[in-house]
Amino acid sequence: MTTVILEFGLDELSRLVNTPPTRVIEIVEHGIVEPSGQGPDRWMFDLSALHTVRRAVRLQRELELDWAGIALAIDLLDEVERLRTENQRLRQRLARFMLQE
Amino acid sequence: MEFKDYYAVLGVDPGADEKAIKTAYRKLARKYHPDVSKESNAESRFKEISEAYEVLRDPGKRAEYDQLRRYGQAGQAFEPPPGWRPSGGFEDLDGNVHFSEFFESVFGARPGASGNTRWEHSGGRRGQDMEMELPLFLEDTLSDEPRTLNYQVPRYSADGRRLENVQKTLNVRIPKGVADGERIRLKGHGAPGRGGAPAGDLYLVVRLVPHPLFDVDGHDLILTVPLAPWEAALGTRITIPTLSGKLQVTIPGNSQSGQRLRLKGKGLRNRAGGAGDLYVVIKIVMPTTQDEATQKLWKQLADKASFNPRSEWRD
Repeated sequence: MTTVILEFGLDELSRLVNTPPTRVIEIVEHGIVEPSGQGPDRWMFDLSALHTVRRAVRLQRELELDWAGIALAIDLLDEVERLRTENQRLRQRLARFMLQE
Repeated sequence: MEFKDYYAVLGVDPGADEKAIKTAYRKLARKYHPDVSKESNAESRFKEISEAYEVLRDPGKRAEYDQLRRYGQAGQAFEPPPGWRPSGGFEDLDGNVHFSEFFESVFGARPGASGNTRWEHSGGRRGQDMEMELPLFLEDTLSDEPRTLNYQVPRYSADGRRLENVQKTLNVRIPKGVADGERIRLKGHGAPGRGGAPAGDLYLVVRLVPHPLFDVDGHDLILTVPLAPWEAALGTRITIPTLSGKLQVTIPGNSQSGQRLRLKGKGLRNRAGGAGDLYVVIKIVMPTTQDEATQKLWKQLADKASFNPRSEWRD
């Protein structure tokens, strides 16, 4: 059976995302992810933060955006994703009340 | 192998300057970036675009490519000219983009190139992380049985050449209370590392498969229950399906379409070890056919009942 690890410190996260800790600190300073714990030495990131940091690093490199632009892009992309999912669920529920044509 | 016209991929003139190439790349990257785009071919288009940009942004590589371009044309078979040696020596690009065979024959194999699964990245010589979707039926989320996963990981020779994928099998216990879109990390189950370095991780992205009867709202489930008008009027006792078997439910008299009944703890499991609720939503359904006798009964009801369903419409 496999181990499920739920939280990472700054160094571990940087290693996993393959980016220097200084850039992760920038990402945190732009509020793109919010680790728990006070100060970089004590920061803990969860799996979804890991995923977000990875996306941020990728968007920064591949779209050549600055961090503020990435913060905005990620917020909007997450919102679009949330709305899409909600829309799909509501459609599915509505369809149960409509006659199938 | 097919010759790639990188200028055509970016839609620029072969004489385009660095600035024009950068602008073309930025525009296309925004349009096709897999994190942003919903175009069905976004991922493969983006790979092409970044491959083209990787070559044309770099004056050295661009010169090499321009030289080769005299030998080949887009869509045609391409063989490197005799004596051509891949220049190799790649900077790390985080390896999430797999470049074409054409690219590798010209510029050398890049460590961290990938196959058809969406690899996320490679860290130095540590194996690549991989991501795959895990479709789960709602019923599966209630089970404690481990699930067997079959997947492929890339493999490389000591000098960084891509070899055939390795088939892997893994038994995974799905954590309680997983939600749609959630990631599960399986440490060390990604691609093997090279030179004794650790393997990458495998990430599973949970996808709850839409159910023919139940809708999902967080950890709650919603079941739409069709009732005859008289069942709604008089109340009834019916048997409903749940994810874990059948259940008897009393529908009170005078029930409305759209009304909800809550069955506590009959929803999906949550992380705390409890469970969400099952909501029964009433949907009043008319019979599709009516005989004369039924018609008469409805007529009687229409004459006797003083009910205006559109009373809220008064002007």
